[in-house]
Amino acid sequence: MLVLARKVGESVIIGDSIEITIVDLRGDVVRLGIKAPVDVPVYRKEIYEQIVRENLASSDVDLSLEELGNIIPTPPDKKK
Amino acid sequence: MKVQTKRFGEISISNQDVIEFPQGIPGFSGKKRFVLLKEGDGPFYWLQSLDDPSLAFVVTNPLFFAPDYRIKLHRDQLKDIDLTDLANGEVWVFVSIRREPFRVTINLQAPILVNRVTGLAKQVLLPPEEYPLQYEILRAEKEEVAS
Repeated sequence: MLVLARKVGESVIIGDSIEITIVDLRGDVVRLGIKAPVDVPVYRKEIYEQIVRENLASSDVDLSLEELGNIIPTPPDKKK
Repeated sequence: MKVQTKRFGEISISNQDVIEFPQGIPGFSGKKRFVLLKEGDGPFYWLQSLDDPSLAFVVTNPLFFAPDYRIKLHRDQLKDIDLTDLANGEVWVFVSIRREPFRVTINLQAPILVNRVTGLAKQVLLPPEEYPLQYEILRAEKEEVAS
């Protein structure tokens, strides 16, 4: 891993279009400002990992949707 | 267009039905093209990958189970799927099943937003304090143990 020392107000540039600025330091909390193109999503890592875990669980369903729909039918007031 | 799927074999879909995730889906970044498939009369759909026959997610309409569900997004978050007219937007959520105990949850924190006109889609991330990652829609009752 590349490790760079930066002061508050300084930045690093990744590629041509991603800029990360050290905005503020308070105790053990660093606040980062991130400029990235709209097609580069930025996530807090632990939240990203949770989303991946849920997505994986959603891709690993061994029931048919007919079976699942029998267990959990469409709510009666939502049927078209 | 003919597409191979693990569950349904070869299926025929029209180009208009293709849903494209330009950024991919977290955890599945190489898989960008999908189609929604109905199976049975229930509230659930398959979000079937067109790039990987064995990849399909279960999704549903969140309003079936959380009628008050509303998402707030910044205009910038809609830009990459060209969604300027919200009337063209459609919201889906991933469904997860867990065993022991049998539990079915929907992910209200990271819904899928689809532009029905262009077919572009993305999974958006809402602030964690707004909606849960695992919103329970079914939990099996614990079996009574005879004493």
